[in-house]
Amino acid sequence: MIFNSLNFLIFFLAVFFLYYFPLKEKTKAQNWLLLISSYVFYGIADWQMILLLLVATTIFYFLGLAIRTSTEKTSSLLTTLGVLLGVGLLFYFKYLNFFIESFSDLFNAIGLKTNWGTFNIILPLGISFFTFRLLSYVIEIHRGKIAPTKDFVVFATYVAFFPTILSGPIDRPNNFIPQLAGKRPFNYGLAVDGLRQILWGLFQKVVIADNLAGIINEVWGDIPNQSGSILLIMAILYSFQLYTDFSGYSHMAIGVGKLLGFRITKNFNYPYFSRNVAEFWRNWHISLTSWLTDYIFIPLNIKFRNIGNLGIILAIIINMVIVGLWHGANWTFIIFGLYHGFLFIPLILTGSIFKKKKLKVNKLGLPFLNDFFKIIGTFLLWTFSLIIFRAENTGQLWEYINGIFNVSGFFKITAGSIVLIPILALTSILFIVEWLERENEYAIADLGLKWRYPLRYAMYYSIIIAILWFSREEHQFIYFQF
Amino acid sequence: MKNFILKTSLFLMIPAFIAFLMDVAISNQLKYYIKDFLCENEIWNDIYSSNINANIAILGASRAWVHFDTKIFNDSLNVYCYNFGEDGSNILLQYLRFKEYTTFNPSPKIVILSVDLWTLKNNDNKYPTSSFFPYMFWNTRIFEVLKRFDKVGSNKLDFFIPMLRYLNINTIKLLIKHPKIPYWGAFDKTFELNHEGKLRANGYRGMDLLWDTTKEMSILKMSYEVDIDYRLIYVMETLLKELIKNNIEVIMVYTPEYREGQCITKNRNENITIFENASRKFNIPFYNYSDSIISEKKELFYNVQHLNKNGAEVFTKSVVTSIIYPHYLVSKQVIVSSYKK
Repeated sequence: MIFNSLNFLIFFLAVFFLYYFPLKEKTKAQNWLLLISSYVFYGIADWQMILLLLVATTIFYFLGLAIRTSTEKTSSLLTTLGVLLGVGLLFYFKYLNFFIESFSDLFNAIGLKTNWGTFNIILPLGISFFTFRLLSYVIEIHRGKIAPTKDFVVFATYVAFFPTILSGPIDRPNNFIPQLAGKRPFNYGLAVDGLRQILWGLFQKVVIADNLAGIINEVWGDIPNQSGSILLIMAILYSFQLYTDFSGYSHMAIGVGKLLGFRITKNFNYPYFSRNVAEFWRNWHISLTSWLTDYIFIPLNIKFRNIGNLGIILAIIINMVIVGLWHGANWTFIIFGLYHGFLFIPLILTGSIFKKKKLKVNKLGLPFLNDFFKIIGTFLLWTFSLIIFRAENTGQLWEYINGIFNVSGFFKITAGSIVLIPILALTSILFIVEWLERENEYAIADLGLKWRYPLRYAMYYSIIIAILWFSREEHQFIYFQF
Repeated sequence: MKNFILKTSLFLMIPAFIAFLMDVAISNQLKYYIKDFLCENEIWNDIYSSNINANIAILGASRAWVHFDTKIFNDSLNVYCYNFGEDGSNILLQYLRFKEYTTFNPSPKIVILSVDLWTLKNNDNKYPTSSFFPYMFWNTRIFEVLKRFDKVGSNKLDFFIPMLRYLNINTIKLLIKHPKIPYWGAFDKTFELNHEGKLRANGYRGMDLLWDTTKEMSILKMSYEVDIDYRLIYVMETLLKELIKNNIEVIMVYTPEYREGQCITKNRNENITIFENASRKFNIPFYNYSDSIISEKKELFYNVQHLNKNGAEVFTKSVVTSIIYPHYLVSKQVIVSSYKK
């Protein structure tokens, strides 16, 4: 049940009306409703794994309570146990077969014959997202930053909250649990803001991402017969697709949360206007990168602080490899992580990794030339990394890169390229609006609010018509697989 | 909260209402004023206005549409025969048309099922679903069938949101153009109407065309395989079962196909074997005109697959005299005979 489907609309309307009418201001009952609807939502997506979700939630709930009441030593032990459990869960479902295959290949390559078989493991949907929520819960309790909740329903809803369980954002317990515990009367402003954010998310997903998906999938399915120019254009378009797909999903999730009275963590902050990779990763999938910064990078950085810049480099490379691996068990994701890790090295050596300079603009509202080239450069470095990210294996990756540099027939444009024109026009509009509105939470958060009503509503209706026009094909969200 | 619901409802309902009015206007335009080469809207209009009440119904694709002259049936047998032939359709779409027909009209006494290489063909992505546009709004029966098609008119939103299905370039072009210009654009000319102001007489249209030697010679050199969708065998059997259950006599006919062109399709025999098996399984007569004298005469065809108007008359007379008449006594109504193959 994806957000841009009729089924979700019906499901959400039912939840919304129950939530605000019979259960109005009855926080406990509202939480029960959210929990049940979250499990129903998850069950529709992956009913086989409901039990796993429930068991994991129960274990971490009791772990949280035990960590708080134990002595410091036992508390550390229990936290370690929780982390091992969470990581073990991820390792078993996501990485076990990958490691078996990789080690088997390695041993075979050095002449040690192995006959290891892989397991038939079904990857639970959203495991990377809910496991990270579970982990941050026990870690934050151990660090003394939050108190464990005694209310199981609150905790279980935090873990399984239906707008965010499948693809995030990964909310931290200190942000989300207090909201669940407190009263949530209907907030008109927040609800309208939520609707606007859903509208923008739908535009990104349905109009841009889904339309790019068809043509990009076609090209990736037939790399040898593509010209270099097409492969290059598709690589750039894939970076638009991935951004609009995931950012679109995040906006919808946050918007749905706002309709229910929640403020969910922001996940994107106009990453394609970043001037270097460090800035880029601060603006891309913020809930994941900040999670990893807090629980992986900072502890490692502290551990390696005696070796200066080398320590930071080591910490960042490990961090980025984990970012890569988080997306899936594949060598391409490890290469993706390493590539980004290495991109940080010049920033570390020049001391600019942690510098946060506000982007300034000239009289025309455009970035200065220096910043403009940095933005383009960062975008191209990112685009190249997405070829690694998108490739199913290293063979395909090599084939794609080779294809780009295939000089003969580089400029051959296929007849199908014509369909790109309207999509590119819409993508340009999207980025122009995003540039103009980059100070706001999302592009149309503030846009048109001071305009005359007819103009403002003309804008909303234009977006709706564009969404309906392009909504004929439903594509799964890319980040569901992670 | 009330304010929010009221404003949101108004925000959605006002354009929805305007879109609904536009939908009705455009659908009517497409239903009644646009004449195209295939003129499927005439058939749909007859069906939905409960206008038909046929004794004999002919189902099939284009070869049914241009091969069975309904006037000959009516004059010779004193019955009311209607030709539901639908260009480019496979058995699933033919089944849909028949279901729609029986929903709004009484069941026929006899069904002639014209089977051919299109009957089981997988044309999921090729059928022009735009012919359903004026009739599909909130029609769940059509939705159940069209959802198989991966194109405009197959998404559920197209069925339930007014105007959405018309938001495509071809329809907009059409509405800007003169209404008599065909909306599929395949045949960019207007056609003469018959005395009823229609292009098809009880569904039939004789093709007053001659054999195009240059075009057909190149076709005769081709060789291809029909992509059979084996799930459609189940659909065909479901239709046959339903007809038998409702005491409707069924006759399967493989209408003439120009002899020299029969070898173009590599798996033609496989198709015919499937029809023969169905005929045996349900004890239904099956007449295969592949080896008939009509199939030998090039002058009766305008292309390999289709008889021209003269050919259709010769063929229909043959069907009426050699198949229908001997087995079905005609009086004031069609009396079902005890014929078994």
